[in-house]
Amino acid sequence: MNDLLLDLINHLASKGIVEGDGIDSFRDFTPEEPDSVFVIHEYAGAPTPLHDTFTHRSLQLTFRDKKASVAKAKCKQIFDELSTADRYKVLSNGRWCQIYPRQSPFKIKVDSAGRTTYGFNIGITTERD
Amino acid sequence: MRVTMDVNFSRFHKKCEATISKVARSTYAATEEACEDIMEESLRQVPRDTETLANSAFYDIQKAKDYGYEATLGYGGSAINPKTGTPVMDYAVIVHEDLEAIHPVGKAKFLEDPIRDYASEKFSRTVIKHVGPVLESENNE
Repeated sequence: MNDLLLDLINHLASKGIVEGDGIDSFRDFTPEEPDSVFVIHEYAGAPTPLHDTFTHRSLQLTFRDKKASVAKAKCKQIFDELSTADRYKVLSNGRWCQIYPRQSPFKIKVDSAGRTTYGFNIGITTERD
Repeated sequence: MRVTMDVNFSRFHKKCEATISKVARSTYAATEEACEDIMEESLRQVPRDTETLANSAFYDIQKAKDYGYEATLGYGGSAINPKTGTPVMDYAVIVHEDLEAIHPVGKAKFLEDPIRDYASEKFSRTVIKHVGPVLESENNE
């Protein structure tokens, strides 16, 4: 099992939604270039009991693009891929997840270069890394 | 031999309704305490520069559709940031959601984190503190 963030990027790449880690997809930081990037950030999750097999984590998934409509559409595509009706998802490498979207994609910001970022937050219960 | 039992359902229903009503009323105090505690922690975490964002903190308790109360907690409104000339409602979401912004004081997720922490650690205790005595007194009647 890899890092969860990498597993998610690899899963989305296997579906042809993003190109791949370090190409157009990044973990916990947003590079200046390229303009069109997918980023997963991890923020405070629930404390993990020592012997639990599963962890509950909080992630923010964002998509930035020069065109707001592209950022919105890509964000929606990622949202649709990860938020199934029954919350249950098995990623491309077999990692088991329960994914709870905390809202649908929304506009987070427009940066000084005029690039728009859309994003959404999820709670995810999954195996330990 | 027959065993019979008369049950006065009308009285039972009235008693249930009265108890539900008392419990619902006691949830106001629980909701208010939860809002106060969450906002206190949130104001410790909110980024501060001009204080405009921090000063826009609010909570609002409304009657829920069925029984009890519900609350909205947030930051926003039309107060203008004196440095940028931007109303709080136009930048509160950015400050809350931008996980890469560097704040000399405070952090992103300054409302979500306190709410999640409160829900997982303290909320049930607050409810029991306020609703428990009501149920206890009903039980003793």
